[in-house]
Amino acid sequence: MAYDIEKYRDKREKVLGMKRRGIGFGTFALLISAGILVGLSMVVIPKSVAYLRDRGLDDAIYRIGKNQSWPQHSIDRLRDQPGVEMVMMGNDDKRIVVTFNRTKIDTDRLSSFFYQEKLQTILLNQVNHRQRLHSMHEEKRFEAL
Amino acid sequence: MAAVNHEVEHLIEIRNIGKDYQSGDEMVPAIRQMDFAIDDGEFVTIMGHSGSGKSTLLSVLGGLNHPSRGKVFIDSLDLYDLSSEQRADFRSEYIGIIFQSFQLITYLTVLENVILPMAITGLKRKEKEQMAMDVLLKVGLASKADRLPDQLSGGEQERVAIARAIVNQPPILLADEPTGNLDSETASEVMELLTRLNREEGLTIIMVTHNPEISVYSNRTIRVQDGTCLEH
Repeated sequence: MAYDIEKYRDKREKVLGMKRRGIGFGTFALLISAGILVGLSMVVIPKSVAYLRDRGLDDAIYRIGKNQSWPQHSIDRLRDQPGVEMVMMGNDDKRIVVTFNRTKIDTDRLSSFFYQEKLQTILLNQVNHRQRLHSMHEEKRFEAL
Repeated sequence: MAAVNHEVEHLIEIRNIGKDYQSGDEMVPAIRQMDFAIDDGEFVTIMGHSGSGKSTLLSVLGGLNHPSRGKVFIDSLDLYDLSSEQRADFRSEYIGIIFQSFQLITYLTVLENVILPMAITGLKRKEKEQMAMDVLLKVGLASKADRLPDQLSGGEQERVAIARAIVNQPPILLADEPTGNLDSETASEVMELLTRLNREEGLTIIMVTHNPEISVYSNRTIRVQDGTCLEH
C-alpha cells in the first residue's frame, strides 16, 4: 500500500506535541508546588505580619486606688498618648490593661501621666503583649475543658 | 517541525544506518550498513542467524537503540532527531512489540495485562476495559479475560502479548521471534492471527525470525548477515 502522509497525522501531531493529551507532568508538578506555596503562605504570612506588628508591644496592668474609679476622660486622654496602642478595662472596673509600644513610651511615663491626672494607681505587672495574648488563649482553652 | 521530512515516500525508511558496540578497546559493528524501506500494511520478515544484527535492527526500528550513523524515518518522522520524550510518545503511538518470552506480568489477569499500555493514555477505566476486551475478542481470548497468564497455554499467552501490543492501535507491530517458544501447531495459529491482523486491520508487521517456515507467512523477507542486508 502506498504511503499516505495524512493517514497518521493525528499520531504524528501527538508525538510532536502539537496536540495536548491531558495535563503534562511539568504542569502537574508546577500546580502542586504552587498549591504547597500558597498553603504555606496562608499560614506563614499572617504569623509574620502579626509578629512584625506586635514585636515592640508590651502590656502594663494598672489598678486604681480603693476609693476611685477610672474616669472616662482620663482613659480617653491615655489613648491619645503617643505610643499607647490600646486601653482595655479589666473585669472588675478597677484594673486597666494598657498596650503600648515600648520604643515610644514606658511605664515611668505612664505612671507620671496618671499622677498628672490625679489618679492613685499601682503598676501590677508588665508583660510582653504577645505573651499575655498567649496566656489568655491558654486560659480560655483550659476553662473550656 | 524539524523532525518531519516531507520527502519520505514510505512508512518506514532506513537510510544507511550502522550500529557499533564498544567491546573492550574495539568497536564491534552489530549493523554495518543497512538501507531499505517498508510500506504501510506490509508484512516483512527479517531473517538471519544469531548475531547477524536482526534484533539490533528491530530495536533501532522501535526507537529503543540509537544507531551510530544513518537515519530512520517512520511516518516522515526522523526518529532519532526527536527528543527522548517525543520518542517515548512515538513508541506509545506507533509501535507495538511482542517478544519470544511473552513478557506478561504473572500477577495481573489477562485483561489487566492488556490494559497496561493504556496507563498513560488518559482514558477512563471503563473505556480502557472496553478497548482491551475488543482486542481480546480479536485474538479469541475474551472468555479468558479474568485468568492469570499461568493458567493459559503458551499459544494463548502469545495471543495475550499480541493483544497487549495492539491495544493502543499502533500502525506498526514489531515481533522478535514470536513463535520461538511454541510448538509448530501453536506457532501456525499465532502466525495465522498475525496474518489476519495484517490483512484485515492493515497492521504493518516486521517480524524477526531465523525459522524459514515462519517467514512464508510474510509478504517479503529481508535477509541479514554480518550486519548487512543480503536481499530485500
